[in-house]
Amino acid sequence: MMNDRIPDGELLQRARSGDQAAFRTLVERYEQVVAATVIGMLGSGPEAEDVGQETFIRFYASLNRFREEASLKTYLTRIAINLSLNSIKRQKRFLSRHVEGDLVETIELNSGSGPADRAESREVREVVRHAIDRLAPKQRAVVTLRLIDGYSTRETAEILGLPEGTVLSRLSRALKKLQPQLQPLMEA
Amino acid sequence: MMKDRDLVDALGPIIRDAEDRRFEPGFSHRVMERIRAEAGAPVIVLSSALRRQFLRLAPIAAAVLVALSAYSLLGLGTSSGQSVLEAALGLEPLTVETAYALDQGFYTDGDD
Repeated sequence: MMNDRIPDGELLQRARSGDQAAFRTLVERYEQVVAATVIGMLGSGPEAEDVGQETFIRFYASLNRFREEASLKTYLTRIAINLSLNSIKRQKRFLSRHVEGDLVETIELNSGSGPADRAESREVREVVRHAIDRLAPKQRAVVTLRLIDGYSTRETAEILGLPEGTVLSRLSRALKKLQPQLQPLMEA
Repeated sequence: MMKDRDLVDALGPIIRDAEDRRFEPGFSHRVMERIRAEAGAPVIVLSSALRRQFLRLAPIAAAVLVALSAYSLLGLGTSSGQSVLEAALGLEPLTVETAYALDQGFYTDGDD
């Protein structure tokens, strides 16, 4: 494995000149950042894995265009969020075309479930996942970046290309939707 | 009623800790495999071949377009109230007679 202390800039230069090991080191270094974003948006499962891979493939294709004005973390998060939003749109289109009424909700609820855990933590995970899945995609993006990834309002605004005021209003609306659903967990 | 800041503090940890947000082991390997597969995919070869053919044929097509437009302009002229564009496209002048002629053609074509 390549040295973890090599700066991103050097790895980027090596990757641009065709060094695949250097690019792989970047993937390993930022895998967790991308995973937090796409699983936060989509829940764990094959769709999140696919969007995660696609994020790095897009990054690989745009290596020469990445000018390092934004940090690599922000850049990858932006790609991951946009691809996740596209995936949600595709899923909604598919569900509305092929699945009727209540079934949509059941499938959305189950789509994010990963391997079995203890019953209690699985229940918590499903309640949270269900609450997040019920948010509008744009609100879900703000919640993922602010609450899961831990970005500030300014960074979230930069990633989404929005004014800070819009981020705050979307977050406020999302929190008001989440609160009643997660109230039992807040009291526990 | 809780303020947004308090809600962020209360809900943040619940949402953050609810799920293990990691890919299955071997993620970087799978990414590199896909990159290698997509780099060698025939679609990329096809797209660059199509681009080369397009760049070769585009100037010829543009020249033919200019020549045909000039021919139409010279042949039909704009004397019958046509715009330059209509004349360049070689369109027949639109009159009541030509409109009826088109209509008749349409109905007779549809009758079996």
